[in-house]
Amino acid sequence: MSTASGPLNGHAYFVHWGVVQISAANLITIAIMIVLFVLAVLLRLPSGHGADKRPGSDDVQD
Amino acid sequence: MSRTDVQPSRSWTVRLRNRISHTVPEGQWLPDRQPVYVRSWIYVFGVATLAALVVVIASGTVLALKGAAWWHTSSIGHFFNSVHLWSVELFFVFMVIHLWGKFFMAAWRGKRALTWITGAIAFVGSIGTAFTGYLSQTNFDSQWIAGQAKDGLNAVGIGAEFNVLNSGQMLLWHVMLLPMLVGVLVVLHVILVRRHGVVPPFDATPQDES
Repeated sequence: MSTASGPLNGHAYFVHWGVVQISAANLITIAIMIVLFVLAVLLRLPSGHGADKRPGSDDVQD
Repeated sequence: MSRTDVQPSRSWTVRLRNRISHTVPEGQWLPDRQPVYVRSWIYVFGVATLAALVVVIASGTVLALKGAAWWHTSSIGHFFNSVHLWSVELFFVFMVIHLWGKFFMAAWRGKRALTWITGAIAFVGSIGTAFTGYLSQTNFDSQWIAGQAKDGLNAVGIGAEFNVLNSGQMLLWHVMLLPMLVGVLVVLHVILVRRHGVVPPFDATPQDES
């Protein structure tokens, strides 16, 4: 049976901060999630091809 | 108007049909128009979670069809094993961002408490499904996780019924019981979202709803 190759063969790198211990992979994933959340709140979704352009219309039509 | 129009039917099929057809308002099952505030990235993560779940189920079905020896030894098996893992990673990333967005919108407003509750229980059920998935890898990683988890589960008194060292039991929970629970909750959650509509932002005006 073959074993996992590549990055899975190495030892995980852990960040130690007082009583908190977390793997770098998990810490990076959480950081990416927070960045995605902030961007999702701040950035405006572009209009779709079927967006309603009629004057006075506030509806989205996709 | 005849008497049959005003009196509820005694036929259970008619009553069930009426109940199902009135669960979601007309035109809301697959709407082609949404309120203006839905034009925001934060409203995308719910459906992104559903898309990831479809890939999770499809790749998991292939793994179940072919078996453990296949996903450990063949290159195509490795590929589907990886697709299953990474679709689960994306499923959780999208679901947690969806949760954050809905939490800060207080998405339980406007008679949406049951929508919130079904989502929360589906989240907990998904964690259990992912956990039993890690236990079902049939490698040293799954053995190590089971060895660590048994002490915690024994400490809370459920180790006899939910034995993480019993790989057969964990595999069946992973491929049958927990996916069924999550699947039912997700269907209920989506029905409730369609029934009550997506939650508006705090500063939405009645014009935004039109």
